[in-house]
Amino acid sequence: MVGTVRLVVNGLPREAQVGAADTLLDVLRDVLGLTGTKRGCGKGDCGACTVILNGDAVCACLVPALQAGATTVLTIEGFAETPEFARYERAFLEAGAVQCGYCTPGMILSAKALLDRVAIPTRSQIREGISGNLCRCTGYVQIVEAIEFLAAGAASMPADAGGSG
Amino acid sequence: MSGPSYERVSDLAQALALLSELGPAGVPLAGATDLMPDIRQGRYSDATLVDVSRLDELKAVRVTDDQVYVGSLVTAAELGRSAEVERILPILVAAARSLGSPQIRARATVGGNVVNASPAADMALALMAMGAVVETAALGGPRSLPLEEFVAGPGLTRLVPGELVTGFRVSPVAGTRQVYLKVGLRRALACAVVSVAVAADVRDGGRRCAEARIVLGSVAPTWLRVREAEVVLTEGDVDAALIARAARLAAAACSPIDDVRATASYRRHLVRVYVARALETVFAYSGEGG
Repeated sequence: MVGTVRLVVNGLPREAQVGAADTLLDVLRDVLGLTGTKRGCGKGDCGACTVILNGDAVCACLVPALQAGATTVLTIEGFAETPEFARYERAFLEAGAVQCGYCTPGMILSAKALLDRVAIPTRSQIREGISGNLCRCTGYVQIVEAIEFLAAGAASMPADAGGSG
Repeated sequence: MSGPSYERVSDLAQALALLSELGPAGVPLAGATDLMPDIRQGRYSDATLVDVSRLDELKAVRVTDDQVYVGSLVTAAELGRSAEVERILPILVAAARSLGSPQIRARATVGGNVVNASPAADMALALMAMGAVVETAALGGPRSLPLEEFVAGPGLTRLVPGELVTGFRVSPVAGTRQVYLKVGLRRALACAVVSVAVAADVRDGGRRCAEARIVLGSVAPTWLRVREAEVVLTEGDVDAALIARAARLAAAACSPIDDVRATASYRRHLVRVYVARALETVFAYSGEGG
């Protein structure tokens, strides 16, 4: 409508025709079909649409699509293809940090943005790091534990139960 | 709904020329964290969004011994992480850290926080307590004015069409004690129910006050400076009684409303409690005299 946005999503150059009222979330879900990024409140309150944009966790619902030009975006689909993701998946499973799953992509990407900046965060830094992500199932305790597992390192995690092999 | 138009500008001169040409229809767009939900609601469908987010000249932070300059496009996350700003303006760093969530702070700019002029604006309140000056640019030339004169009402500023906020200058008296307290319904991602920014030039180890600024958020149509309470603090030895008097004056001066977050009377109560708490902190008053 108004213009073409060209950006790198999950390592691939992509483009979309967008209007000024369209968001990065619209581009990811409706144009590129990357529905792992969830649509929640649309106002930046819930964090379900969290993606990593140029290294920062952001709410895709608040990023004007046209402003996303020339940026690098990582969504849960892209992260899931990296070797690093296996640790996250394992930690979240081990801790029981996934229930309905709607917040999970955003939680994992907020956790990654935090751990990329602070390798061994304190519990309060972890809580701060996921403070922009709502979870209505778990009560957060298991999610915090999952991130603590990650910070402590995969080596110290139980090696038998529920592993991805 | 046709939706707004969009133009990206790549330098300040281009931004000012475009904003001047567009007049009232030109809406600067930076971090978009406040604007985007409104844009989605159709509020700016007749406007042209002028995307200033890539104007690198507005992203500088300059700290000298007695002055801090913060470009309008500096984000809350950048301020929250800035040790050099924290050295002179801990109140601004605290306010930046209290704003929104990590995702919001990564994009929300200090200029946007001020121009959006929400009564609950965290960084604006801290800047006002420190006597910040707003610097603007326009085709006709730059302008600077005190932040407290810049705000005109809820969501309203003295910014004129064609004018863009470029930054904020703060020149605090050395050693000014500062504190920012915010009461929300929860710790994260909460719009303030009441917020209190206090800056004081403290003398004699906390017993005297040469000058104080007390600014309240979310209890008036816009950021409220309570001069009655400020003056009282300079009129005698700062003790529990004087602090209590200042806090009562602050509570009396505000004009809170009932809304979904709190009742007016609860807000007024919070003002009294939190102004007292902020003053106890800046004057390090132990409650045991001396």
